[in-house]
Order: sequence, then structure tokens, then C-alpha cells
Amino acid sequence: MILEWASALEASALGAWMRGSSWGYPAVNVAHVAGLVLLLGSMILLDLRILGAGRGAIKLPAASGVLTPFAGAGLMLLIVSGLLLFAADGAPLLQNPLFLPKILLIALGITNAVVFRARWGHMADQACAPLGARMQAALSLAVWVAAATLGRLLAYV
Amino acid sequence: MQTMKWLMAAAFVGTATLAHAHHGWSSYDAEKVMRVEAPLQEVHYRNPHAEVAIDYEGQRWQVILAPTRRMESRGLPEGGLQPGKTIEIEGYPKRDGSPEMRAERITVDGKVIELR
Repeated sequence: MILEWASALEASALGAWMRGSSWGYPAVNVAHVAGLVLLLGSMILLDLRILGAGRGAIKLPAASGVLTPFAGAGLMLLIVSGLLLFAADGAPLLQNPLFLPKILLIALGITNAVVFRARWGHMADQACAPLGARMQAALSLAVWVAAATLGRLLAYV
Repeated sequence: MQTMKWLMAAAFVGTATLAHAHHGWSSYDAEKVMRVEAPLQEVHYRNPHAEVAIDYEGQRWQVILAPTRRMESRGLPEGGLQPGKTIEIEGYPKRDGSPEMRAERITVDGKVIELR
């Protein structure tokens, strides 16, 4: 059923444009990398701060307040550009052994971030985050780096 | 914290090495150069890279070319490849034995187009 949906998207005018335009695919590819830089750049910094880096210099709520919107913007850019790249090549991508693991990691990363905000969103200023929050930050680091790695390797398997 | 920094550094180096090892050309065996002259059975002038199909030794081979922009800028626009047209292909077969090759260069109408 997902395969049918992917094939329909591939056959759509959007899919045809992504394949046929000489600049469409490269431009969207650049946007996808830009989104990745925004998301990973800010998430890694925030996760490291939660884990304790710079605890004397930067307050946790300040770091979260500055970095979270950038991470959100990066994620939005990634999702939009990712859907466009998927439109060019949907059915073969679904059959790539790395694609589903990558999507599951993204779902896990987003869920982890939502749960984090629900549990620790109103965390008072403290030098050392609670153990649960640090564990979630470590999971976030691992999950996003792994998702990005799988995404890059999609082209090579 | 020092440990964390080293772990992060190691993760990134590891990722970079892995990505390099899997680079697109590495799944094709450059030791086995194939030179084939054949009529095109299928033409997909598309991104992320153009593909054509030829019949070679009783099998339908997929031939991976290059992104359309690169082919255009090297003098092979969309109309340059048509089903039925005979071209010369120099490329490498996939290591896993499947009938797929990546073209290093092709000769169309007597003109050599480098694809890498």
C-alpha cells in the first residue's frame, strides 16, 4: 500500500519535475543538506549542553530557547525537501534496505524530542540536568547522527 | 567531558570513513573495463542520474550515466539519446554480478562524453 502511494507520487507531475528539471534535484538536495546542518548543528549543541558541556557558562533554559527554534526550522526544511527527493525516486527508495530504518530513526528522534519537552520542558535552571534528561539527550545524539548517516548511505547501497 | 569529545570525534571520523568506502563508484569493479557498442533499448534522461538500457550477451543491462546537468554541459542534451540509437559505452560492471554498469564515458555520434 505504501509502495502504491510511492509509485503514484513518483508518477505525479511533481515527481516528473524533480526528475526532468536539470536544477530541481540538485537544488532540493542542497536544501536537504542545509536542513540537516540546521537540525544536527543545533541538536548536537543542545544535547551536549544537557549532558553537561559548558555548564558553567551557558544556562540550560537559555541554550534551549536559542537552539530549539533552529532545530525545528531545520526539521521542517528536511521534511519538505525529503518529500520532494522521495517524489523523484519513491518506489526504488522504499526498496532500499536503509530507507525504512532511516525513517524509523527519524520517528524515534522526533518522539524523543516531544517526550523530552513534555517531561523536562519546564526544567528550572540547574547546572546538571537530571539523569533521565541526560539519557534522552544521549539517545537524541545517537539517533540523529545515525539517521543522517543512513540518509547519506542511501545513495551507496 | 573529555571522553565525550573523543567519542564524538570518533563517531564523525567513523561516519566519514564509512561514507568514503561506500562511494558510488566502489560498488562497480573498475578492474573489469567493459566496452560495448549497442542500440539503446530504453532511455531515462532524468535525475539524480540518467540511465539507459542495452541488450548485451543475452541480458538486459542497466547503464548508469550522470546527472542531467552534467551531461547537458558536456554536450549531450536530452534529445541526444534516443531508443534505437547505437552508442558506444565504456564502463564497469557491478561487483555483485547483477547486469548493471556504470559508464565512465560514452560515444554518441562520434563524440566522446566523459561522465565522471
